[in-house]
Amino acid sequence: MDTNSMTQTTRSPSNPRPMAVTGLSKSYGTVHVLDDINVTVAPGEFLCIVGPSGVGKTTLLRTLSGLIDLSAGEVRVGDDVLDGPIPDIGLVFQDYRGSLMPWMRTLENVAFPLRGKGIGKSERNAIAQKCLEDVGLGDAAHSYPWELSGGMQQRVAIARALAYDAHILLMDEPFGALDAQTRLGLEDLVLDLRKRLNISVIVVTHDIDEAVYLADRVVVLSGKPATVIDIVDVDLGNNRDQIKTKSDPRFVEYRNRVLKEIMR
Amino acid sequence: MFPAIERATRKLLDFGRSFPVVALMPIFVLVIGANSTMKITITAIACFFPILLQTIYGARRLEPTIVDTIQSYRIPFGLRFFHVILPAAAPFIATGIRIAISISILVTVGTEVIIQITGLGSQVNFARTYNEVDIAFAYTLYAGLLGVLLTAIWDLFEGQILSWHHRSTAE
Amino acid sequence: MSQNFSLKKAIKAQAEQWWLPVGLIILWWVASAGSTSFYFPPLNKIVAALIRDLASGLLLKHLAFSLTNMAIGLAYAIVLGVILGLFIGYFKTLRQATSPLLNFFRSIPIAAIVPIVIVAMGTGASPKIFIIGLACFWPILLNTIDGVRGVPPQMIETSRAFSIPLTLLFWRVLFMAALPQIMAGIRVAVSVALVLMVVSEFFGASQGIGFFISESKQHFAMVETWAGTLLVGILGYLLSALFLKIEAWLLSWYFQEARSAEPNATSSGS
Repeated sequence: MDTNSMTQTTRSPSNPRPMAVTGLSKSYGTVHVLDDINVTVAPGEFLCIVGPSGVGKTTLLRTLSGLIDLSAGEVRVGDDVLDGPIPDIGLVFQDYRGSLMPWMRTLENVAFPLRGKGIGKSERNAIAQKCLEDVGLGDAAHSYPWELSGGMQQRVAIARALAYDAHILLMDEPFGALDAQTRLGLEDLVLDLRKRLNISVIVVTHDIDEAVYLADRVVVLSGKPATVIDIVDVDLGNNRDQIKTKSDPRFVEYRNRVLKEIMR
Repeated sequence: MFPAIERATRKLLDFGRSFPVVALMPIFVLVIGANSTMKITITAIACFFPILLQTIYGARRLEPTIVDTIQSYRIPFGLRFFHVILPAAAPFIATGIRIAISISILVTVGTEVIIQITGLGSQVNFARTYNEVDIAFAYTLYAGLLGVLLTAIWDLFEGQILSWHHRSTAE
Repeated sequence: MSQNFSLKKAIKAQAEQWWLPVGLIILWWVASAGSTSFYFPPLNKIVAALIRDLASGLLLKHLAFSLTNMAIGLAYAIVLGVILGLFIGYFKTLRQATSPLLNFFRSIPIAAIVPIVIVAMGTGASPKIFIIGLACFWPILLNTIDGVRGVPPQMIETSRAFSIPLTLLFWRVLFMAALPQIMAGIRVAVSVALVLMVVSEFFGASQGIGFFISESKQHFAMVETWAGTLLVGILGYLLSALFLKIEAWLLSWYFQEARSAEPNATSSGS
């Protein structure tokens, strides 16, 4: 995004802050889901969290977003301890159908959180339009979400998180409900957004290929309760390519390492 | 099930559904007289429409895959009617009956109040004429309780005959 | 040419829907034509009386009174029912506290308390408005509660994640998401309102369409009784047709979304 075009000072992820998770545990009643999770996310970093299904990945993401309370430990964004949803964090769900409001046009959906912040109509629409253009949907502003394909709807959800001025994007299986080709396109879109806007991205996924392809670091969760069993530094550079990167021997190596850990 | 019949009756049903049956009361009083037969007639008419409409609705929204299955296996009409359409519509019929139960109480008691036929409703009215508002309210509440009770009994019964439905849709 | 064809199709579709009702009306007309029965006067006399009293303004005056009461009562019920329903539906503790009470009150026959209310509040318009409002309140309230409970959890989570303030959440998310169900409740309420509008005018009234019917009955004016009843029927039909138009307009996104979600669904027009 071009900084000159920004109309206000609070706009833009201009003040990115790191996220630090220390000793995070979560129980539901007697069921201990997450145990002693420690991880940090630097500004601009791309982190993927993988693990077998049912391990508690989504629970972890929801605690990071401030939607649910933790049982022990803390999450800090900058110097602030997280105790609820904050404007630094934008959330993108797997189920775009349930998270976009079908009675609002695309533009209004993207601008809606800004309305919650009390930003005036013309200003929030301008920001929303800009963010829709960032995800390549500048033309779809006046369509209803259900007139768009699944991939486009998910891009609207991403635009909404960007418009909210989030510099940490939390994504829960964001591409899980999409077909394979759309999925690859969106992976590259998110990588590109990260590079252009210098935002941090945390993606929860069960797809190991996707995790290794996207991430700077892959956090592997396993066990009951789930703990971090490995953090893999993925040294594949900043210019990833669906064909070249995925045929890189190092990519295969990373992937096999994570796969073995999960199947153990 | 027969689209031609469905189309031909649609306007009639729309009319019947939106017609306030109680407005027929004065005519019925003159034609039939202020007696139980009249009360039963009005209640029956009032209950008829929700059950009919729910049944039509249920029979119409058969899953497309089920329709395809029936056709590909050439299920004969009788079998199709009693073993596919009727059970598939059953949950909706049950809803219609539940609606009809509460309507029946409302209409019966309402009729009794308005035209003084022996019953709970006329008791409300008697109490009211003797200025015993508390008793009038008590009878009204009693009628409400009756509605709750009947609905509860129906739910039990429905739970028995539609257990497959409740289990298959349970989350 | 294709326009001509689609016009023909439209006419055919209308004809398929209308032949039976029109046929029945003609049958009634013909069968009752020479009727000397006191109870079943000829339809042409009924229609003539209806037109005469409408033209003279007598019925219009009654209608205006009735419809005003109905509109005001319904408006109160919608405003209160929706607002309370949103709150009760959203806050679980409130819902648990009120649900047994609501289930009970809903089954109380409001028609039974009409005489009591009339005695307590006099014979003017206000007791009638009160009764209509009270009776319409329940279906709207209960449907709103159900509608809010049926809002997809991700929608509420999304709103929480983006710190949407409560008023905006209620108005732009919960209300809109529950609107299809709210409209279903209002639809029930409209027919309830019509019933109670008529019933409330059977008692202690000096105007209104219900009064017209019961007054005609008192005088054994069978033709007028039929005419009034017929008018109520037509009114009910028109009101529900109007309601469907409003609903289609308010919920256009909903119906279109439902259609886009099921591209293979067989046309429901059958």
